[in-house]
Amino acid sequence: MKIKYSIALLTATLMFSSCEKFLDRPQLTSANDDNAWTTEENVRLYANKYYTDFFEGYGSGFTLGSSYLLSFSDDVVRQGNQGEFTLAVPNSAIWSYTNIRSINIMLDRIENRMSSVLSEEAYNHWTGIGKFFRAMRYADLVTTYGDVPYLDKPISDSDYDALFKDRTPRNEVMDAVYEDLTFAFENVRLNDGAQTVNRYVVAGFITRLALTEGSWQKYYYKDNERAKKFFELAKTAGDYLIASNKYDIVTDYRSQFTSEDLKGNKDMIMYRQYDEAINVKHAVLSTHNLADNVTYGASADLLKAFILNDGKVWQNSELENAKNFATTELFKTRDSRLEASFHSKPTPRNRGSLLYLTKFLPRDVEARVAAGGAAGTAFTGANNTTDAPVLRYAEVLLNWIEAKAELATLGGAAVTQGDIDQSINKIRNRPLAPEAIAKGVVKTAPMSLGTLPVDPERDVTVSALIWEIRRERRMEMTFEYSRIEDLKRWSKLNYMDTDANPDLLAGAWVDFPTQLPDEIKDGLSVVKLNGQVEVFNALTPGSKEKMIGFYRNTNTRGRQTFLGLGNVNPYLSPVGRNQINEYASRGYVLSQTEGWPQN
Amino acid sequence: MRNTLLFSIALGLTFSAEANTAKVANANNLNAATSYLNSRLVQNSVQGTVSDASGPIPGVTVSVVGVPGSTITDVNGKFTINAPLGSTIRFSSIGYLSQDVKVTSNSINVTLQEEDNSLEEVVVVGYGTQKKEHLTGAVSSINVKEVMGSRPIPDAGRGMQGTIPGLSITIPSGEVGSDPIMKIRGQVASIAGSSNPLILVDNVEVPSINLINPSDIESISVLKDAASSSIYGAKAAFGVILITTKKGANTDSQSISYTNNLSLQSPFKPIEIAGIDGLEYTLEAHENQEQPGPAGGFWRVNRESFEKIKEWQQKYGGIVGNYDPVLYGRDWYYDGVDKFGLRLYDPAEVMIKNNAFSHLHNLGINGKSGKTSYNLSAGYLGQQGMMKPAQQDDFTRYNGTINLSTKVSDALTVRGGAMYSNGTKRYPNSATGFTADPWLYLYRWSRLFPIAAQEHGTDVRDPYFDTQNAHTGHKIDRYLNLNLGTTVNILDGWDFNADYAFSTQNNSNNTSMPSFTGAWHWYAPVAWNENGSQVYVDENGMPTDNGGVPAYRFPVETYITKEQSNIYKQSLFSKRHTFNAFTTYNKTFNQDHDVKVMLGTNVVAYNWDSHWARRTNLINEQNPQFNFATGVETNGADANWDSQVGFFGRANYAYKGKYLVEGNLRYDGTSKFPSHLRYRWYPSVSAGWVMSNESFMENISDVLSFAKIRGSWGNIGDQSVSNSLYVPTMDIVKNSWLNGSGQQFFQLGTPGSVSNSITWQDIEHSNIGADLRFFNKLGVVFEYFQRKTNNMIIPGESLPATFGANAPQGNFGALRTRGWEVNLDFNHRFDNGLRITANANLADAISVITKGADWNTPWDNRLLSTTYSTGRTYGDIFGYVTDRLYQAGDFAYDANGNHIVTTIIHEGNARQTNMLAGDNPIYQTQFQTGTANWGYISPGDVKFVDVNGDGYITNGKNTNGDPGDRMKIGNSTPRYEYGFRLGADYKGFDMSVFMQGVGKREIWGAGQLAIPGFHVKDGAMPQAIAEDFWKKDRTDAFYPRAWNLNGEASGQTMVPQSRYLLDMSYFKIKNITVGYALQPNVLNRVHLKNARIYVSLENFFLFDNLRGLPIDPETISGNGGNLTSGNYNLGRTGTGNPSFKSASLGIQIGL
Repeated sequence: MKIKYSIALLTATLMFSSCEKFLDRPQLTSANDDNAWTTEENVRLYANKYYTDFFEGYGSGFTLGSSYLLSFSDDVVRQGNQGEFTLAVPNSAIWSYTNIRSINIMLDRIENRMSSVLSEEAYNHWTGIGKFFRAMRYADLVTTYGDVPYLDKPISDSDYDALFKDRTPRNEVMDAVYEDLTFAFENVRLNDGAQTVNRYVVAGFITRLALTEGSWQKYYYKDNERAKKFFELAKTAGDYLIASNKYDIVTDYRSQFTSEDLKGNKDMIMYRQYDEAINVKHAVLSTHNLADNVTYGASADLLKAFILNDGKVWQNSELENAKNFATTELFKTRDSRLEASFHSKPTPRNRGSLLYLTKFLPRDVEARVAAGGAAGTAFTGANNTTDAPVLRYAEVLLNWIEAKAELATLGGAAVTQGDIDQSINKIRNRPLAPEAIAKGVVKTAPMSLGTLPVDPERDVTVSALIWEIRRERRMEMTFEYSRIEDLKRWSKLNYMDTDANPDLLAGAWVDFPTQLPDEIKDGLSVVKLNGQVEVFNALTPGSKEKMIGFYRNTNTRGRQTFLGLGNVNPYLSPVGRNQINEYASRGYVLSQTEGWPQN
Repeated sequence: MRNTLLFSIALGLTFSAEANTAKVANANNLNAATSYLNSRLVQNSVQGTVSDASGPIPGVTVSVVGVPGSTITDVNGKFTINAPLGSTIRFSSIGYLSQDVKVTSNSINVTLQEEDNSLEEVVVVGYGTQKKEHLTGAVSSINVKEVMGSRPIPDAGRGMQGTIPGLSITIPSGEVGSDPIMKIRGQVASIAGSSNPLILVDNVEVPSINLINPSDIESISVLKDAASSSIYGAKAAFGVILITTKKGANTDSQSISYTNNLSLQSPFKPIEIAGIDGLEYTLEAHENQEQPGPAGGFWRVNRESFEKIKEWQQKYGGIVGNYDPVLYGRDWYYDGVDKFGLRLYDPAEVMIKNNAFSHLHNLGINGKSGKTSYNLSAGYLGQQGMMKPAQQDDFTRYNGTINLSTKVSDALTVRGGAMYSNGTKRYPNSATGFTADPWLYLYRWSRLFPIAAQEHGTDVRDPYFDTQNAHTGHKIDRYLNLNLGTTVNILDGWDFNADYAFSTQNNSNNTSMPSFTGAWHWYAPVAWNENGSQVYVDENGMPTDNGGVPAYRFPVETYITKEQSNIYKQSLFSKRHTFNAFTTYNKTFNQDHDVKVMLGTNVVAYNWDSHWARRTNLINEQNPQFNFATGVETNGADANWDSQVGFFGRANYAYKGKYLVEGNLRYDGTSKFPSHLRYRWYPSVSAGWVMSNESFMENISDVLSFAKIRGSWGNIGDQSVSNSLYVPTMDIVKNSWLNGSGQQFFQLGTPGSVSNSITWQDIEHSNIGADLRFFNKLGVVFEYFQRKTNNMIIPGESLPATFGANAPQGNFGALRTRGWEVNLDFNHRFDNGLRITANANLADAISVITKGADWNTPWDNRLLSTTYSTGRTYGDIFGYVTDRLYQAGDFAYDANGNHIVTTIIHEGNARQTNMLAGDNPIYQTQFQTGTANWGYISPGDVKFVDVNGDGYITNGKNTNGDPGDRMKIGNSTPRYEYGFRLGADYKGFDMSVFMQGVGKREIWGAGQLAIPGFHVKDGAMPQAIAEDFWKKDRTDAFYPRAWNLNGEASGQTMVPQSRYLLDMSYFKIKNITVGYALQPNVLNRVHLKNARIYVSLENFFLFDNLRGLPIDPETISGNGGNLTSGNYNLGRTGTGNPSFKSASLGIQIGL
């Protein structure tokens, strides 16, 4: 019996003493915050996750992202109702700080745990990378909301004063963004491997972000000093890129958007790769492959804005068919980017304007579909694998020339013909696609400071030079991300007023009796060049023959009034009532966005 | 290593025990005792047969009163015992009334009466058994043979549904091989944890009830409160389903049994997808919303084509078959922009099998030879699924078990066993690449979408051909359990048990995807050219040289390319070591004091690792193998482990069988929490009072044969959470950014926001119960319970968006479930041999979140949209109260009969709407879509009740304090779950009817089967909706005017509200069985021990309140059986495997 008890005792003792070890079973397959910050490789892995967030390209799967096919601007006419501005404070809406938290953790860990792990060069590079992404995020938040809470450290979940802090003034936020950008500009590596952020990418995005803030400051906040600070930054970054000689304008316009492989393309400062073999695909063509229906297209306003290839506007060009907007003629007389962006024959498959956007469709597919063939699986659904430009050199040149022109108005050096030649004229001189040449498309004449176009439609508040720079940008970047953002930073949302500008509700110029006789039915009307609207009426003799002009469906409705309303600010987004109430219930204040009711 | 060590120590203990106790007489050692007697008494051998109404009974204990020792009847009910004339022989057996017979001759034949008092039953409880009479905790057990013996059920979970009050079982889908959802006492007990009961088979946890062959089960007990389940500790917080398997016989014998069941399955609800009426809905919605162009999505419909569709029906309906080819000109046309369909296809008919065959077979050998008893069994289940075009859609399971036990000596018993289960699910590996299977598409697309019909001899890409051409996927779950154990009788009443079990799961999933080529009707068609020239067709779709229209065809596309074709294998290997040791001491002092003490330990170590690999580009699609693939290789692996240790003790004390007390104490440790928070003590106590044993109750004992009241309280720890809750983990995964050479970036995730002080959740149970028995025939059990989850792990108070992450979780929350259970049973045999039995149970439970993340927010400010809001009843649905549909007369019109438009300003928001007639009408502009006049509230929209009487219908602040006009309109928890069984047998004939149901449950559905107008462009909807929506000429309709919600479950006036809440209560006649067992005289002639044949109808009758919607009322939106987890088929209600009914035939034979 004694033996038995002693064995039992021994067993119990053994079990208790080894239990602690027995119960020690940490995660086997994931790192954690306590053990991950030990190598440069891990910092690189950590930063890798920001690429798809900040460089969306054509998105992935059916998620398009916000870089392309933006269908809310004065370039666009929609079938039926037009896109609307936010006109009321929503119940629930707020910014996302997920990336801010993530980046602040990265910067904090680099600073506090990795100074001995990383070489000084690596330390500065990765700090620069973190600051670059943080600057991009804050610049985006500021553009959307104006003042936003600025946090540059990870905050504890119990630090309520920091968590519930009210908005930081925009200028304070943007000064920090300025600091982050300049640090990145000075410290990020010149080369850190393929498809990664390097100093040129940083500089390229600086031209975009700084130009944006400079414009907001000049036109919305009317603060020329701050405007100058950011325009200078944009110019400096642009100078740096131009001087680097690493990039060039060498690819025909459409091929930049339709190439299966942009590797090594000198027009690209950054691009996003897609690959069928590993199932990374996008859907930019799911409704823009010429075969499928799409409900929005180019507005007559956009078509009228295109410059003619003699460098003049349609009202006073000396070209023979300058006033002929019929698409077949239009493409021969307008800047080559029009032909490169749209299908030449009007088609009801574009229900908004009848002019079908083919900017993202390879020319051979366009030809195949036009001939009655199928687009093919790779050009439908979310099966597209064309590479996406993330930042094009052409945009950088336009950002740079715009910043220079704006600086000139603020006491800076005047824009020279050399500046124009180095930017706009360089772009105008890009190669033409053989298919375009076959259609009679020619390069647009260089812009000359001495003989800027005389545009009767020019907004009188804008100088002729800046007007032309903005036109160039509109032609270069149509149906990309920027038009609505541009209108906001220029304080020109009035261009979106459909009552003041009926061209926003009309589409392509169509000779219906000849080109689309089947479309002559109830609901059709056309707008003549003089603005006169002709409505089709089957009972009126000769009505059918009159159906030649800019297409306008009688069901196409104007946008609701969004300007001059009290308590509505179309430039900046409001936050939700719920969020303001949540702050209040904890004894804190969250201010409503400027221009919206503060209650 | 650790366990091996423990086990060898246990064995060492065993051997020493044997040395000390070999000579001690053991009460159970009957043979020894009998032989001891034989040598001392006068030899008078008495022989005979013991039988009951249905034949000889083996295993009856036969003893001579006043003389120690006894014998047991053999398999033929025969016995031989030495007993002097004049002595009294006692025959006793569990389940029978004991009978005393005076010895008057050498031959005695006895017929025993079955005992009705089921309280005499012995119930399996944690680490032991307990007489039902002496139970003080909440334990239910079922009669396995009666409940599952003759039903075409693949697993015990489906068999137990409706049989135990408080055990809620839901079968959310007809998917074969899937697990039912089992919950004990309420649907939720923990938000971060599992809330699932622990399933133990012979004290070893099993991962799925599907692994066990129901025919191997000897008994099932369900431990519902802490007092009964706390002994199982760390994983038993939400109750235990305790399964014991069949063991070898108690007497020298051998029996062989064979049973089978053959069944035919068919859907129990007709799946009626709307045709013409659905298209009319689509058109009406399009027109109501003043949308430009034709209606519909990929396939369009307008008024013109709608008329043609009706013509098609008249001309070709019943002539053109489901599988006839698609013809341009007859079945569809294209206007250069849009495709219009004319033919109505029948997806339900071509996709759902009407008769699927299933069969199950079980073979068992059971017996005892000398000191060794054994039980061996083999089982086979083959069940076909319901997907008609699939090459294979079925579930097959093989089971084998062995249980051996041998008495090494009087004091030492050694046992061992093995259980193996191999379940294989074969299914078509859908080509969609979506997180959905072909069932979704059957319920998704309008009937204008071609299905199962070829075009120009080419398969069309549709759910039918996608399924038919898919490769078969194999999901194989193998489970093996090996166990060894020993019992040592140390002293009289003191024994020691040690068991070690090794169980392992080896699961794999093998799929491959061939390239797919098909006629692609999703996007634009192309011109039909033959030899380069355009083909023209006539109105019958036939090519013609004379007139006709230029024909189009679907382009033939390779939509899964060879580069995308692939082979994939995934496997998981898990190991679980379970070591249980306990020692029990039993003693009765002074006849009145029964004491039982137990001490034990329970150690579990579990780990798994998994890996998967894929290689693309199959070069031999007929034989998909990794060696025949030449493309991109991807792979991954994962692993995890956890362990638990527990030490426990239990003490029982009973005084005169009247006063019963039990106490449990357990000390638990787990690997899931930070080291300083790993251990906790968990106590439980229970007590009972058998009133009927009191002398003052004796005079009513004829009526109230038994009465006991009992109560229990206890605390159990729960740790069924992930082991990373307190660790800011950073996972490394691939993302979709490529490096320029087609290789994906890897990324390291952002560390989560976590608290490092996460520990056990404490589950506190209280239970009071009463067991009553009237006239020895009618039993009543009543339970009332409360279960609190204290220190529940929930996210902390919500933080503003600037935090950039979810609030960290912690032990902040609390939840409480209260409920009651009633069980009735009745059993009576008439003198003519007719026996009737009845069993009924009813239970209810409600869970309330007593502390949620918003506990610091005043009640008035807590949001209705917070699921786990403090003070909220779990499952509550808030919504508006439907008044009726607006009719034309409710509105004001101008002289031309047009709506007058007015502006309503409410809380600073001005919105235009159609003016209502009458004084002070109540406006509900909040529900208007957009701002255009087509979105204005109009006739046919829902009119709500102004609950708060403020003159407007709004959602207020969406808080408890200001819910606007919303109120609690339902609850998604199944309430009043009941089961009812009636049985009768008479001279070999038996019959039983089993009914089961849920008294109350509501959901706001999701998806096209539940929400009218859910996705009108996709087009499919139930006929029940399509024929009963408001139109100008159908103003008395149930559903509002047609509206396209564009994939949302809520919009315009179709928001959560009382009228369109789905009433998911139901009543099912779950099973009807009629059987006949051969009588003993016949059996003797054919040399069988028993033989029975039966017919069983499962799930045959369903009564629900779903107004004809093709939804199984047991459905849980987003639950898809065992192939997908989480958001199955986009979370839509009812869009999965159709549930089926079965008609079956079975035989049971014993040799």
